[in-house]
Amino acid sequence: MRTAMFAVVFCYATYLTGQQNTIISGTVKNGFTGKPVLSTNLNLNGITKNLEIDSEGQFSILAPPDGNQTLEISAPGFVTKRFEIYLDGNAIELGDVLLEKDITSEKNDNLITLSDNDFGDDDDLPSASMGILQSTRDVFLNRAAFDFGQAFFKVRGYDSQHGQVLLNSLPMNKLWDGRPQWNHWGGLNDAIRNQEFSHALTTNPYGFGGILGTTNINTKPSGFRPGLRISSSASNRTYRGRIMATYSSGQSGSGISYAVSSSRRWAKTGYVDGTLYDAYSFFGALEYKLNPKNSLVATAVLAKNRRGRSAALTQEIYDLMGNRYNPYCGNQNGKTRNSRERVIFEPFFMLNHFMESKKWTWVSGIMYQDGITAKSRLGYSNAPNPDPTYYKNVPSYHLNGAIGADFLNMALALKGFKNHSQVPWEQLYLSNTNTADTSASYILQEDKVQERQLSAASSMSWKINSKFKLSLGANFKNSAVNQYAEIKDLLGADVYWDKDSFSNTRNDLQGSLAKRTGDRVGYNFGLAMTRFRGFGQLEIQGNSWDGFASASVSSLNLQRNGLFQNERYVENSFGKGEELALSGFGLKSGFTYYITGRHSLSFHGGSMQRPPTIQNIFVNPRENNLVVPDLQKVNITTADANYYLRLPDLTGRISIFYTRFQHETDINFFFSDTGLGSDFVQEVVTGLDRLHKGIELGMEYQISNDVKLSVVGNLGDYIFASDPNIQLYFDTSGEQQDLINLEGNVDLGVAKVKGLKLSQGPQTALALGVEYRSPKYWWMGATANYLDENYASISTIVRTNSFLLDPETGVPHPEAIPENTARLLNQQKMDEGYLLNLVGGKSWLIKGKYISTFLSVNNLFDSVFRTGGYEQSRNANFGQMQQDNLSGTPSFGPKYWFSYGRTYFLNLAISL
Amino acid sequence: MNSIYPNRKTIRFLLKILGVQILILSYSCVANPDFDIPPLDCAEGTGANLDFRGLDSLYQGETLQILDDFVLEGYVVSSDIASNFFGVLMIQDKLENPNQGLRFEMDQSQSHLQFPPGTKILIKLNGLYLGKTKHEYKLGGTFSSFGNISVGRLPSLKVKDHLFSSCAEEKAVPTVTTISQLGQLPSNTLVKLENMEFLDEELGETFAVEQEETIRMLQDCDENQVELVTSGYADFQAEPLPSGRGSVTGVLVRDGNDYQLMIRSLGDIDFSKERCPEVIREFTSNKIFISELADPDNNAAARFVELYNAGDSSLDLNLWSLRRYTNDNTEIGSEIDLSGYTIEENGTLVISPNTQEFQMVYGFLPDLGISTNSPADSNGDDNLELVDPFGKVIDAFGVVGEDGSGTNHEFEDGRAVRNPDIIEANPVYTFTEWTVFNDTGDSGTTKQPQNAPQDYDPGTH
Repeated sequence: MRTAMFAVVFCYATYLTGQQNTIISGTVKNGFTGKPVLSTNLNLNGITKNLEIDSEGQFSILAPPDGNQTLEISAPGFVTKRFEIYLDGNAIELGDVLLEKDITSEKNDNLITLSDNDFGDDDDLPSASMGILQSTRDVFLNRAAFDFGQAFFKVRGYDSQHGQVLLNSLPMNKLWDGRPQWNHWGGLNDAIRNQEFSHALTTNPYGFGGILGTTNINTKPSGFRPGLRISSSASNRTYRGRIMATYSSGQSGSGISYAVSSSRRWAKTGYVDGTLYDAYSFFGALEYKLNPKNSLVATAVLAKNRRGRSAALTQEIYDLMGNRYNPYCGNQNGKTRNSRERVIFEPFFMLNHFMESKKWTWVSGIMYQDGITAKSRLGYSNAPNPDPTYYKNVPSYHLNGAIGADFLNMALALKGFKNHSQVPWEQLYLSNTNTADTSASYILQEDKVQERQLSAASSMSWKINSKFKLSLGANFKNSAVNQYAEIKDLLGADVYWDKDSFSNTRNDLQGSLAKRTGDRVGYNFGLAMTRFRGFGQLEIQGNSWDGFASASVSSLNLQRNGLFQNERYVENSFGKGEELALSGFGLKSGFTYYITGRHSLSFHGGSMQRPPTIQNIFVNPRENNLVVPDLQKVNITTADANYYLRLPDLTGRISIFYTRFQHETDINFFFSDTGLGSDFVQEVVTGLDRLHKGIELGMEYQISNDVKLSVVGNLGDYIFASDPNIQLYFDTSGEQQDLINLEGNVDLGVAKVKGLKLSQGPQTALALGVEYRSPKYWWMGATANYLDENYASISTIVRTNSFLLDPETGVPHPEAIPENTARLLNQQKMDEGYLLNLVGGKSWLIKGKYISTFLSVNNLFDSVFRTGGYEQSRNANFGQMQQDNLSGTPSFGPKYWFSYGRTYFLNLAISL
Repeated sequence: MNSIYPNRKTIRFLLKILGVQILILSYSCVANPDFDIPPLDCAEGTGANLDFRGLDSLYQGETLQILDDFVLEGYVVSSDIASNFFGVLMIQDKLENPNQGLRFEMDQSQSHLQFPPGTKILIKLNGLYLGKTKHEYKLGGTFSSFGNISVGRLPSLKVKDHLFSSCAEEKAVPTVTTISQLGQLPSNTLVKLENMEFLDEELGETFAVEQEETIRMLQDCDENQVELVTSGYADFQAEPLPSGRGSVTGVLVRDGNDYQLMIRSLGDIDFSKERCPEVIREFTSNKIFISELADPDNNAAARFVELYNAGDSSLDLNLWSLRRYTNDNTEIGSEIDLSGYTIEENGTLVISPNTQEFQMVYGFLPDLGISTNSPADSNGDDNLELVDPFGKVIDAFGVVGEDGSGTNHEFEDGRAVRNPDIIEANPVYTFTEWTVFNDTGDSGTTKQPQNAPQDYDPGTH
C-alpha cells in the first residue's frame, strides 16, 4: 500500500495537440477503510482547489501543460500525498490514491491546552495568537503554534487582534479589543476541526482578513467525519481531565445531516497553584441540503469556561516561591479559593446559507450572541491590601525604605511571607465583622462585560473564467455592551458603602450608597457599537503566475452611555457621550511567480487605516465619557516576500516581512509616583509607531519514508519606531496637596522609546525537529527549541522628562544625569529559553473501530524561564526609582510570567 | 442509503458518555464558586505561660530577640480605627485594673479590623524583639539605626505568627480614675476620666495641627490638668475641640514624666454635659481688717502686722495685698501679695518681717514671713492699706500722704490695736476704732512705749 503512495501511474495517454490542458484523474480513498474520502483538496503549483468529487471518490481536473509539477492531495485528518508529475497534455490517471490517516492530527488537541495558557487574560497584555494557527500545514507556523507558543512566541510579533477568526464566514473577533475569544467554542475540538487558514496577507473568500491571517471555521455537519468519536485526556497544564464526545450523522440522501458534540474539562488546579478549571461545552449543528448546490445550516454553541487566574511575579517573589506560586488564592474552610476567577459564557446561535456551484460560491449568515465575561477580584476600602505580594508585605520592603535597610526585620518579613503567602480569606471575613457599622472592608467583586451581538455577513466568489475570480462581501456587527462591577460576595458583611476610599467620593451618586450582593458598584456604563465592513477582491491566474488585489472599507459608530453618575466626574459621567463615527479602509495585493512547479516566489503588500480598538478610544470609560482628544487612526503598512520550495523530499519556505504600525493609541491605568506628584492615573499614549521586521524560515526534509527532519527559525526585530506623546488623566477630588494639578490632566511630552524592543514574545526562535512515522501506525517526534530576544513591556511614563523631576522640589533631581537614568531605564532582555518537546502517538484499527493515543511531553528538562513581563510604572520619578533599586531587589521592579516546567498531555480517542 | 440516525447501540453509548459528563459536572473536584462563611479563626483562651511581670526576667538591659516559647495573654486597648494610633497596639495584662501594659509595634495598617479594642489576644513571644524604655516594654520587630537595634515594627505578615485573637466576648474595661491618681496607674493601659473639659483658651482649636502631633490640655472641674496628645494624621485631626464636659476614655501614655491620654476615636470623648462651673477664686470681704500693728520699743526686729477676719467663714486671700505708704509718700512703698493664704473665721494672719526674731520673741512662727522694709516693718509713721483682689481698699491705717509722726496714727515704739468692738473694716482711718500707743502721745494717742513680747498679743484678737 505504501509503495503505491509515491507511484505515479500513467494508465493511458491520449495524444492531444499543442497547448492542450492535461486531464488528471483518480480516486481518493481512505487507506484504512478503503472508503472514498469526500472532502479533498488538491494543490497544483501551490494553487489549492476544492475537488469536485463524486460519491465514489473519483475526481478529474484539467491543468495547463506546464512541465514538471508537484501535485498535492490532502484531506482533513489525512496525511497529504505529493506527486511529481510532468504535464504535457497527456492525461494522467492516478488510480486509487489511498490517503493515510494523519495520526498526528491528534496533537491539535494538545495545542488547545497550550494556547489556553494565554496570559492575555489581562486585557492590557499582549495576547498569544496560537489558536488561529492550528489548521495550518506550514511547518513554520506549526512550530510556532506547538512549540514556540509555550514561550508566547507571536508570529511576526503580531497581537492576536491581527488574526481574523470567522465562523461560517461570520467575524468573531471582539470589537472591544479586536481579539478572537477561543473560549467561545473551547473544548469542541471535533466540531471546529474544519478550518481554513489563510496566512498573512493571502486571500480568503470571506473578507479582507487580518495581517496575521484569517481562519474560517466551518461547522457544516456534512463535512464532519461521520460516526461517533469519544476522547478523554489527562494533563497537568491548564486542566487535569477532559472528556469529549462527538457524533456526526454524515450525509444522507434526505439532505439532512447533523452533528452534536459535548465536552467537559476540569481541574482543581492547573500547573500554577489555585488555577482551577471548570468548563463544559455543547455544540449542535443541523444542515439541510436544499439541493446539491444550496444548503442551510443552523449552529448553536454553548460553552462555559470558568478558570482561576494567576499573577505575574517580581523576580524577588519568584525566587522565593517558584513558578507555581499564585498570590491570588488562599484557603477557606479547607478548600482553595481563587480571588481572581474568570468566567466566559457567551453562547451563540447562527444560521447560514451556503451555495456552491462551478462558478459561484456564496456564504451568508446571521448570528446572535449574548453572554457575559466576568472577572472577579478582591475590592477593599479602608483596609490593608489583601495581596500577599503587596510591596509592604514582602521582604524587600525592609531593604528599600527611605531610612535604610533593616536586615533583621527583613529576615522576619521573609518568614512571615513564607508562612502567609496566600490570600487570608478567614482574616478578610474577620475584618468584615469588626467594622463599626458591619459594612464591608473587603468584597469579592466581579468586573462584568455583558455583550449582546447581532451580526450578519455575506460573501461570494465568482469565478469569471479560468483567469479571473471576483469576490465581494459585506458584514455588519451590532453590539450592545454593558460593563460594570458587581458584588459577588460580601464576605460576611451586611453592606458595602460604594465609595472611592482614596477621595471619599461616591461612585453612584444617583443610586444608593449602600450596596449588597448582586448590586452594581464602582462603575456601570453601556457602549453601543455598530460596524459595517465591505470588501472586494480580484484574483488573476496567469500561466506561471497569479495575483490579487483586495480592498476594504469599514465604518464604526460608537457611543458611551454612563449609567452611574460619578462624584469625581459629575459633569461627564452620566448619560450619553459624544457619538463617534470612524472609518477605515484597506488595500492589499499579492503576486506569485512560479519559477517551476518546485520553486515559487510570492510578494504581498498592504496598507490599512483603521480606528484604534475601542478599548483605546475612551480615556477612562468606567468613569466618564471622555474620548482621547484628536483621536488618530492607526496606519498599517506591511509587505512580505516569500520563497517556496517544493522538492519531493524537501519542502519549505523563507519569508521576509516588514510591517509598520503608525499613530497607535494606547491607554494604561496605574498608580504612579510621578515627578509631578502621585495619583492613580490614566496614561494616554498617542502617536506610537511600531516596526516589525524579520525573517521566517521553515524547512522539512524527508530523509526516508519514515523519518522527517525540520528546521524552523524566526529572526525578528520588533521595535518602537517613534517617540509617542504621553498625557496623564486623573481625578481632582483627592486631597489637594497630593494632586498633580487641578485641571485633571497633564501633558508629559514625548516618551523616548524609539528603538526600544517591543514586548511581543521571543523575537528569535529556532527549532530543530525530527519525526519518525512508523508503518506500524505509530509515530513520534522531538523538537529542540531555542528562544531569545524576549523583552518585558516597558513603562512609557518613566521615559518622559517628568521622570527626572523631584516631586518635592519640582526641579530635576540633582543625580538624574544621563548616565544614571540610562542605567536605571536600560531595557533588559529576558532569559533565553530552551525547550525540548516530545510527542508521540499510536493508532489501531480494531473491528472497524479506530483507536488512537497521543502523548506530548513539553519542556522535558523542566527548565524555567521568563516568558513575558512588564515594567511597573509606580516608580515614575528618578529619586524614588534610584532609591528602590539600591538594594538590587526593588519593590517595584518588573513583573514576569514564568514558563511551566515539564508538562504532559495524554489523549485517548475512539472513533466508532 | 446510509441512515443518518445513529443506531440504538450508538445512542445508548452516547447517553452513557453524556451521563459521565453530567456526573463529573456535578461531583467534580473543581472548587464550587460558592463558599460558606468560615468560622472565626480564634486562638484558644489558654496557652499563656507568662505574665507581663515575667518580661522583667527576660529583659536583660538591652533589646533582645526572645527565643523561648513564651506566650503572653493580654487585652488590646488601642485602636487605629481613626488613625490616631498607627503601627502599634497597646496591650494591658488584665481585663480590669491592669498591673501593666506594653506596646506592640507592627507594620500593619487598619489593625482594628483584626484586633478591635478590648480583644483578648495571645502573643507568642518566640522570635519577637523585646525592648524597654523608661516606662514601658515594647515588643515587635527591629529598627536598626547606625548599628543600634531597637524595637521597631514587626513586618505585616509576620504579625500572623505572633498575635492571635481569642474572639472572647469579654472586653477590657477602662480604669476609672482621676487626674491626681494617674501617677499610680501603669502606662499603656486604658483609663477613663470623668468631668473633663478642654481649657477655655483652647476652645476653637482643632484636635491637632495637620501632620503634626499636637498636645491639647484637659482639665477637671478643679482645674487639675492632663495632656491629650493627638496625631496630625488622625481622621479627626481637623475637628474642633468639643466645648462641653464629660468623660474621656483613652490610653495612658507617658512622655518623659508627663502623663498623656490618647483617644482611639472621637467616640472616646463624651462631652455632653455643661462645662464645669467657673471657679471663683477672688473674694472680697469687709470683715477682714488690720487688727494689730507692732513696733516694739525694745526690739524693732519684733515688728509685725496682724490681720483679723471678723466674718463667720474663712476667706481665701487670693490676690489680696497689703500696701505700705512710707512717711508722707503717696506712692506705694512696698506691698505684700497675700495670695495663697487663707484667713480663718475669727482668725488672724500674722505677718512678720523677721521670722526668726518673731519666733524667738513670741514663741511661735508668724503666718507669713517677709522681708524687712515690707508693710510689716513699719517704724510707726507709715500708712497701710488692705486691698481686695479687685483693687478696692478695704481697710486702712493712717492717712496716705500724711507722715504719722505726731498724728493720731503714729505707733512708733508702740502699738496700734483695733478696738474689740470693731467688726468691720473701714477704708477711712477712724481714730475712734483704734487704741494707739506710742512714744509721743500726740493727738489723743497714749504715750506709752510698748515692749515685746509682754505688751503684744499677735495671733489673738
